[in-house]
Amino acid sequence: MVLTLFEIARSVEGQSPELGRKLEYLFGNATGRQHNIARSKGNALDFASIGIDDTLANREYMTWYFQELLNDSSNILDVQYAFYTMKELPDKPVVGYLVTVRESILIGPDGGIKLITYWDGDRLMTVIPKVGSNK
Amino acid sequence: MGQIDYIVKSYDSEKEFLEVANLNNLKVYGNLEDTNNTYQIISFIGCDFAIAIAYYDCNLELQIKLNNNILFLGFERNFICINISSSEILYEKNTLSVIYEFLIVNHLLIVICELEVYVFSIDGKYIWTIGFIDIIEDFKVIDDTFLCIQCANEEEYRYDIYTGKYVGN
Repeated sequence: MVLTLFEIARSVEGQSPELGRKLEYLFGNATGRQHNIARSKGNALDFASIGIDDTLANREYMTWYFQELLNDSSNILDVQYAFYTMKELPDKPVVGYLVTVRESILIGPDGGIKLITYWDGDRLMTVIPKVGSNK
Repeated sequence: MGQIDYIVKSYDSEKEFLEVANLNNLKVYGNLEDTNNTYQIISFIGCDFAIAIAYYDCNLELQIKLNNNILFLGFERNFICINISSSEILYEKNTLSVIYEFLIVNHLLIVICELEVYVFSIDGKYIWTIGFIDIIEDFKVIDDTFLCIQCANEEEYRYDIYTGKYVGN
């Protein structure tokens, strides 16, 4: 049986999301170069614009939200091959993996924003919040 | 680099932006169907070329480099390389993740994105790319030869910028 990329992407349903330190990135606490800090602060402002500030309750809400997101294949926008250096292996081969891009709406007490999330299976890689613009 | 000056004009609304772009018969780059928060027209002084771009800035700056007549533009997940003399598009790509920064090293343009790196020659030819499984948190070029990448998972990588060959941590 040959699985499509979307079928492979859907295979994570039922799993728990691996968030690592990504909640820090969402709530404006990233470190590193200016780009990371600017992106992270921008994320925090976008979340705050809908009433989701960095609180324990909101961190629990976002964890629950990502769990729901991972278990809903209807939000899969795209699945792409990406490549990285697996330096743990001899000769450091470049190996492929699938990045699943999901699009959803995040609702907070003061409104909603579009959320584009990037996943390696059940591992959250990054997030792009998009606040409605001036048309 | 940068012999030709340019002006970036931003517009508050998509409607006004499109009116100006249409009036000047400019092709719009970016995805107008998506959510955008930045509408800009870049005009180049001394040559009859301008470009209209619409994107969501993700709190990041527009990346723009000029090498003689070759223009490199990076905004959100859009990378475009254009010969502004002929208006020929030399390379256009939607990157996987948002574009952080352009670096020029010798005759190379290095495009640092959130999750990947692309390297082009400064005349617009694609050379190599590599991805990462976590966000790029820091990067530097050593001796004009090696690109060092540090990711948020604290993994470090070093590549030969000319070939893309992995050469260690």
